[in-house]
Amino acid sequence: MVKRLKYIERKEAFTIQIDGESVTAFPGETLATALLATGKKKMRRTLKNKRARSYFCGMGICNECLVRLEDGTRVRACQTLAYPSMKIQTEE
Amino acid sequence: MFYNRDQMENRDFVIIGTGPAGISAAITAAKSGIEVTVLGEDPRIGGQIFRQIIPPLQAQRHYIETQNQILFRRLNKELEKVHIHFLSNTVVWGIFEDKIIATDSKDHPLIKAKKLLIAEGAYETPVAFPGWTLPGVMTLGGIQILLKSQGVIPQGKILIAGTGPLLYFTAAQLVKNGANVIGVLEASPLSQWMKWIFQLMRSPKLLWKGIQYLLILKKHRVPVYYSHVVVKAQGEEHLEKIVFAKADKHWKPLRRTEKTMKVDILGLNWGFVPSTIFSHMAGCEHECDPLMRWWIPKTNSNYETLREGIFVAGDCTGIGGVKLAVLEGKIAGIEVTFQLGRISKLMADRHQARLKKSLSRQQWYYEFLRKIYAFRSGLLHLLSDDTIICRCEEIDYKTITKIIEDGARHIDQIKRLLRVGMGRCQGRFCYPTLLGLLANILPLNELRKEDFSARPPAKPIPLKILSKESPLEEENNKL
Repeated sequence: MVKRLKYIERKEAFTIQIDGESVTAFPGETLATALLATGKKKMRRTLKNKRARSYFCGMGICNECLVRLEDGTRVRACQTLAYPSMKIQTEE
Repeated sequence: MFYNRDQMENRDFVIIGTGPAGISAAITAAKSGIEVTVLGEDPRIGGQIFRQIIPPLQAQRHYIETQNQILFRRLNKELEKVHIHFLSNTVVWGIFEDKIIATDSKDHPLIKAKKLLIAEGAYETPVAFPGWTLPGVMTLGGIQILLKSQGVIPQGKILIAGTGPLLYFTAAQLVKNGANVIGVLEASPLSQWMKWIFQLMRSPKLLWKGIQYLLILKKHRVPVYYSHVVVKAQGEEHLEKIVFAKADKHWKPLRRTEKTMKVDILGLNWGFVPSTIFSHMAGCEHECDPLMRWWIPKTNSNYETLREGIFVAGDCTGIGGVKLAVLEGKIAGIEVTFQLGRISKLMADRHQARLKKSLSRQQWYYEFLRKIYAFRSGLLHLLSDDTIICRCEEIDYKTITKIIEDGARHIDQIKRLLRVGMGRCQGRFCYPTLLGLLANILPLNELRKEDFSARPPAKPIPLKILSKESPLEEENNKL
């Protein structure tokens, strides 16, 4: 869903796991950016109606971009920086 | 982590928010030797307006417009000269009696402030319409953040819709960076804009900027459709197409003019509303402005709320933009400096009088924004029975109108009956719509009294930070 601009200088890429898939991320990128850059569009499903939701406000107040970390904690993908070997889950 | 009062720190002046108002107040007070603590959720200062690229990402050349960059650099320079405790990556989730602030920081869980400034800023006016919860529909602010702080642009066909200057600004920014913007839908008529442009003559700089954006759009052949609104967003798992229509002057869609367009990304902006979760939580009294669908805390001319020692400044006091935010922050900062005994009343008055003069010269911009973004009743015609109003709790239009027909008259009533506004966003994205719906049945003077209560946590926090370290586990180990 998003494309990395060419003229941004990025440090060495690393890998994170999104739903078991290896995905490239760069230092300074949020989970939201890393996820959207793969072309994925959905971040979670709603509890009641199981509808797809994703990045909406980008500033950490709508909480639509919640993803699950390995330890079960849910974090806002737009406010959480990606780090090497991170494993996240998008489905609820 | 466990919160107990032994861990509570006492601080003289605490500021929540690192945008233009927060920083300006911090600098002003620190210059006079006040001990200032600034709390911010991001790793760096700046808030939303001054968002910078997150290091170690680096922009090799100027790829975004230098909007407010000069001011930001000046503020940073001033910051270097003073001493401020900046607690970054710190989420404030509660404000309690006696100006006690709870954060998610292990080192600073509870802070008691002698004086507190809430500079929580604003967010984009939510306008509910069918399909606005689909992945691919996002706020223009969200797109700006992707561009400014991450160096990425949305991919595919981008449509920009809503009203106001941010549409043209963002569209121009996107096409300059190679994005495929297929059009801009502006709800207000062109004739209306011609009238507003006259008012912009007061600020030739702004006017010139606006013309530049339009020229960029023209050069890239991005069509601007005036008097048009998005009626619905469609798709199964994500946005695939939108239906749009011509709108009358109240922004009411004219159904016979409906057309469909294939779109991957829909960027929306209908203006901004002040964030008032913290000022509500702190017990400040608020004023409801049904026309703008927002609340603002009541203050005196030095931005002190009716709660002694609690100040507010910046866009959370009404949407006025960066210049007003700086002035308000300074006025509040001086008042705090005086109240903490660092300067005399005479000196404070003199400084403040000067700033208030600048403030009144800038007031026209506040009025200008009010005119552009004032809520038009036509938008309520976008709502259909199954349109989600409360995104968090998934409550639709039909359910809410039923409760109103049954006699619910207040936001807090609807909240208790339906859980509207009790989800993770804490009502930020549904209360403005509720206010719009109540406007259909309540007289204006009743509507003006409308208010809501805000409860901690203001931002989601893991439950474990509220409990003693797994007491059950310890018990289990003993067995």
